[in-house]
Amino acid sequence: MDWIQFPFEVDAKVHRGEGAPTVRLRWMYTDLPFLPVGTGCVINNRVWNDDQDSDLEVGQLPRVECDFVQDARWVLPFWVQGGHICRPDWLVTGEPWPNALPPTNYTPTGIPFCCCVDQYTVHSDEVAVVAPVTPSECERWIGLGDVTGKQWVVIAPGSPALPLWRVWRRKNGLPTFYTWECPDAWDGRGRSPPFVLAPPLQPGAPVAPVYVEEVIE
Amino acid sequence: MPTVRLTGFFKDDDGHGWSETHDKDGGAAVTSLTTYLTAFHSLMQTFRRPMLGGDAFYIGCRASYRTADGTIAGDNIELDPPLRGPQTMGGVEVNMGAPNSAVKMRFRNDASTARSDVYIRGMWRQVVVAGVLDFLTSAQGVEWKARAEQYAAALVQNGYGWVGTNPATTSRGNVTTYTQTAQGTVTLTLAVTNGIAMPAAGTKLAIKFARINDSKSILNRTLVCRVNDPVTTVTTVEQIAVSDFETTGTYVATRTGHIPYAALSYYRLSGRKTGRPFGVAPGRLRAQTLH
Repeated sequence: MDWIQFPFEVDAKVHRGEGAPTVRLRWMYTDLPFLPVGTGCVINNRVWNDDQDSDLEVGQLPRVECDFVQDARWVLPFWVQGGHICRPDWLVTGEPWPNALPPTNYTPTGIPFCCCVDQYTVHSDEVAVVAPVTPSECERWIGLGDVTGKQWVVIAPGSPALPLWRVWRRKNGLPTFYTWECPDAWDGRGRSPPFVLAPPLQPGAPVAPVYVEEVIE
Repeated sequence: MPTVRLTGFFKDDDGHGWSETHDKDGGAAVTSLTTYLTAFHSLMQTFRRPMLGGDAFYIGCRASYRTADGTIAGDNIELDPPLRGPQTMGGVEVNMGAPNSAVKMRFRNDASTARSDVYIRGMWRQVVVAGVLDFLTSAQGVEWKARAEQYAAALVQNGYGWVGTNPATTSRGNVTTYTQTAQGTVTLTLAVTNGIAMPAAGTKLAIKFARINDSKSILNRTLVCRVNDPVTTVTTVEQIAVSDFETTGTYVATRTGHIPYAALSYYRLSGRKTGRPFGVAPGRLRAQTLH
């Protein structure tokens, strides 16, 4: 978490140790507050620093090697969960390397699945996995629908008190996540979709796929 | 000996943002950035904020330094809401003028051998009269200059400064030849003339080359190079297609260090570009169809 003036991406190292891999790091705006003062996070925006050329054990690569790309249009997708940090204690050291952890799984857009359960389901559908889904730790549950040849992904909140609903429709013929579109009227901004979908929620229990009973286009 | 870099962030209410950076000597080691950050934050609130126009805001600050174990550690403060500059002075509104106009404050070191400019933006519009700085005519101009001098004095007293060339570690000399490597980079052979050898093998640093091939070479510019073993040769990091070596050139491998502000030399009206504001851009957008 750092100050930026424009979204940009660079090559960086977030692991500490011999042979640590280079990752692509993208900085984008967020509404979240900074980490508490005293955290001393070492994953920083190097643009603000005087030293642009030295090799860092952990951090952005030197300017000439980092393949800096800037684009003011980049924004975080709204389905990213803010504030999720898997291991806060590694902020000040970098993740150890090598380690025995399972590999981090990323969405096609490069965001770890643990930060965005919504997109995980969409991704699994791409490999034709339509199976009961267990509510995740962030208490979302997810269903898939197929109505007259059109597939829908429906993402609902973990609590009936939350008004957040999202409906995605897959466009024909294109296999990636980007081909899912969110109709304007059902954009997850507090409005319920104009159809009834789901059985009562059972947080913690598996939920069967949900089928769209009526589609209003 | 780390240098702590401290940056203040500002914006106006018309879509402009800018930052202002000062460095502080971190001593033998920095154990916590919090002290530096809170001291700088206090300085910004006490001395810098009163110099802002009524439509300019101090929005936060950042501290960072290069740690001993090869990282850059940083901490941030963001104010919510941001602190606005004073609205009036002597019953007169003190708003900003053009966003890119700036008062250049020229600082120098003790021996007057090094200089650094601090660009103060967001100042009161009464400070500029007929295209020049005017600290005498209006009460606002007089007051603003008094506040600027207090700010400068606080910067000096608290040991702020800048990162500049350190003559004790900067190596200078000649480039006696170079060769193209199989990887497409260039290896240059250096002959030191000021008695200061290049740093240890493997160090990566920016070196400024000049006069190679009668000043006609593509190499006559600042290039990031890695020092080889022995340290009399360096190899560029970037791939560069060069022609044959013809005549000797020169190099300067600048090494930097912290130089404290010692005194304020002068003020001058200047310009400094402002950018996109900090902290007001959208955090999230609605879903969009991408093709």
